[in-house]
Amino acid sequence: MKQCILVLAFLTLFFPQNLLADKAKLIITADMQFSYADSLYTTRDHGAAQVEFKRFIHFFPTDPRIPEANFKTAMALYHAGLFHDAAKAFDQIIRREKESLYTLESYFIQSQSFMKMGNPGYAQIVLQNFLKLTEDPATQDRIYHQLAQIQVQASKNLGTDSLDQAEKYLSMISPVNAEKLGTDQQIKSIQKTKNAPKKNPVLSGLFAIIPGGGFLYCERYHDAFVTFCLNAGLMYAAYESFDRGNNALGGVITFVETGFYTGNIYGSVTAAHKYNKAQQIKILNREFNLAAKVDVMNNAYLLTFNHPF
Amino acid sequence: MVLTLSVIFPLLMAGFSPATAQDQFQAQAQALPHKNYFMEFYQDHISVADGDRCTMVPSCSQYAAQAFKKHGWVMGWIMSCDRLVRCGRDEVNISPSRYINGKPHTLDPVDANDFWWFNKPKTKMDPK
Repeated sequence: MKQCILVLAFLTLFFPQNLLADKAKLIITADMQFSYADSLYTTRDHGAAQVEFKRFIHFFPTDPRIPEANFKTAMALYHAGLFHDAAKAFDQIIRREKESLYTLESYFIQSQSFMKMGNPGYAQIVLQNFLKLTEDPATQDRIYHQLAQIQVQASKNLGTDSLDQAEKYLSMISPVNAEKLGTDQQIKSIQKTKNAPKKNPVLSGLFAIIPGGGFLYCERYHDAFVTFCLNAGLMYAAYESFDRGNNALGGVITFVETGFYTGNIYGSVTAAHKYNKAQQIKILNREFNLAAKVDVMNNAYLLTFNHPF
Repeated sequence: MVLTLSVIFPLLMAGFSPATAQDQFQAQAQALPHKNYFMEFYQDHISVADGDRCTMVPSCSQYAAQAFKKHGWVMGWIMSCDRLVRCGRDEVNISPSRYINGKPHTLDPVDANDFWWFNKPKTKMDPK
């Protein structure tokens, strides 16, 4: 009797659950997994999309959509702001798939990833290597165009002037694609940037012989006023100290004043360089909208640039 | 701030020795911001009492330490004096800003003031 009750209890407790478990069982197919990952990608949930694409690659390694999944994983990483991981993922695509649309795009977006990481040097190397490999004139033109864009972006940094190089790359684009890419307008914009108002650093340094004169020349009026007052005050203090026989105090003040006086000349020269760069950046920002983006919503793996780049 | 540092700097100079540009750059890359005893004293005691009011990044005292470390005492002294004059004035309109603890600060590192004469030594990792 006891045994019967135990058997009945066992059946009551576990049998219906097993039946329900059978009903709830779900087998995820490659289509389902890919479609889910793709929907996340399309809705711009890039963090989740890259994970789901990786899951797809792991569980369905022989699926013909693997190259697309690899590419979209890298793109999702790029859009999620994980530029280092994206660059590595694009590198794997380039090494694995020698000639495909994904490889071609991978070169361009890997280069963009390096730019996002603040490394224009490597961004250029990627494209220059690709330039050596490709024989397609349209692709070559696109490479020249992106190289020009990198040079324009790099010219915004202090101490770099790569506008000539940008102009050179734009002039290398074939006439067929030049019109399509609007290179004439871009070359004009570069010319306009090169002709931006400039201050002569040597002249600025010479003006600084009168404390604050260099800053005044560079349109830094507050700096000019403070420099003039500070230097005049210290010079007067040094003069008064020596005049009253306080030679030690006069020496200390003269020493401090020497630093501020030479600092005024140094700062004036730097101010002229900074002024020239600031003027260039102002024109570059006005002429070029350099934000690059990828048309994810239309599944078009083409880099698009806001006009004129 | 200007007057305090003006008095501290002559003392500061004693703590640094000139070195070659390459050595200085490598040292800067490895150990910035460098402090010496005088700078530590200024930052730990005077600046604390005086108030953390520098609106630039790095602060004037950090900038001075970096300039001395990178360019030796002569150029470091000149660059530091130049920075003290420019601090928080017209530079704000030219240099980029960064928000630190919710407050806007003007980014003005040593690199942004020596780019026209000091070339960063190339490393093996730099592209040609």
